[in-house]
Amino acid sequence: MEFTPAWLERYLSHRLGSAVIVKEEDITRFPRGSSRETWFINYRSKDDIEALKSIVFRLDFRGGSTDPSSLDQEYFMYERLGQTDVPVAKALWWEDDPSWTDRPFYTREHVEGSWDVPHYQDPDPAYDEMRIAISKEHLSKLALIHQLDWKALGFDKYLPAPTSVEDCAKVFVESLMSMMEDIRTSAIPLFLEAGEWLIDNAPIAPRISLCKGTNGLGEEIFRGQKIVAMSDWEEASIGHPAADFAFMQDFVPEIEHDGQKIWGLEHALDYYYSLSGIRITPEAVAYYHKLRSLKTILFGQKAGGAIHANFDGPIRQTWTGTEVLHIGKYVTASAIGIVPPHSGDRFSELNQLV
Amino acid sequence: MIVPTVTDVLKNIEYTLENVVKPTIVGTPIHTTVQTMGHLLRHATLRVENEGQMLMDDGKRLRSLLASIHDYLTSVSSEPGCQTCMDSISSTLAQNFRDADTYPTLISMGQEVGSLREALYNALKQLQAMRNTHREEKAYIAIRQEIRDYLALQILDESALVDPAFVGYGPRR
Repeated sequence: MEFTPAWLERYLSHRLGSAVIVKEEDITRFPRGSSRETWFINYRSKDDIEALKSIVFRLDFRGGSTDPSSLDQEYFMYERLGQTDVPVAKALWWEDDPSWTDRPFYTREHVEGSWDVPHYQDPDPAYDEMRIAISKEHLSKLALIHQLDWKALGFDKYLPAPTSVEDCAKVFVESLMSMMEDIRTSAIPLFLEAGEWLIDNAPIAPRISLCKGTNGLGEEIFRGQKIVAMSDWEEASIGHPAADFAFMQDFVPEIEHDGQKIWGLEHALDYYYSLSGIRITPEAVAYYHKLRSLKTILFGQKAGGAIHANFDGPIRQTWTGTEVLHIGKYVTASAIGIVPPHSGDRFSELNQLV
Repeated sequence: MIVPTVTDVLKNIEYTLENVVKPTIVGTPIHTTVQTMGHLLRHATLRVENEGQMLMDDGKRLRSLLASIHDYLTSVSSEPGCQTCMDSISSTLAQNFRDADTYPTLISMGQEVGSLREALYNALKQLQAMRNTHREEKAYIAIRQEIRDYLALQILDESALVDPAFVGYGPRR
């Protein structure tokens, strides 16, 4: 199965029940993805040539995803979230018919907007107010997610669910241990050592919440300063809502005016509390930062294994299986006191884009 | 010396990518791909230059550590799982990974160290399973610390193969 105009025309015509037209320029593969393939496809119905429509295809890399969770879990997340007020692209359909594809995929709506918030990373203080507004917008969406009745929505069909607020971290760590045993291609004793430390030092959660996982800059779709779709749910979990603060990219900026801090983690946690009534401590966020580094090892191992199995995979996976894996290991080792911490400079380039 | 050496070749490829190819490319998808290729070429060069000695040193440390763990487990051998673990360590340490006349390539050394680390992984699992009973004992505390000390050296060694290849060379994607 290749995403050619001819194949897409045949497939979409079959699925949509009417003939469509797809041209070469209508097919775009998202270039920066590190976990799975994302394709943006424009098409026109032959009955209404003027109306350009869009659809997103999502599938694992040919050699396997970087993500240890399954593609059908990701589809399930979108389908289930579509039944809530959380803004997400609508899941359309799952496809695994071998007469159409050698790799399962799912489709979802293409929501107009951009992950890029203009000037968000421009350090000019003129943009500080905008940064705080964006931070608040994002926090409001996290507050919405964390208050969902995940049990009634059936999220525990796929996601391991703790039975008590004391067990949130333990369940999370044990699920990572289990995933590691399923996917590992080599032995990383540090993973065992760190898992033990994290269980020993687990904080008690204020409540058991659905958590998004990867979130923040680059993961959500904006129109102006409003989030119109939250994307990238492959690391979702059920547990301590502090995890989402630890897994967040860039949307809790540290801002000072005239020597006074006007925004940062504590401000964000207070704002989040005002919306949700959920009290999260900075210490819990710090703990989940450590847990996140353990997860990075898992991703890196999966990616490296995929390239070892199929050298023709995307080069981004090789990066994930080398530098990212090493960083996960180093940060984990320093988190549990085995090696000194990196300087902040080590990470400054990691999320920069060409 | 035989020139150009393999690292000469790798460095020349990276130089060409950076100075001849990259300035001509248009479009983010290919630009980000070429950027990643440059990082990984530098990483591969460092591995060709240094990984062999690193694996040799790591292998020696692992063998010494596994022998220490075996000695400790001998002292508590009645614990469930201990004998199996000791047997596994012994068989790994006794394994002949290559003939005397076979050059130790990076791949074969990697396989050897991989097997030794697997033995350590399983031994650590065994020690963790015994923690509730033995956590206050000096010998148990000592062997667990010896493992942590090894893990620290291994991760610091690995940094030498990674950090110089990526840090300071710009965006990753």
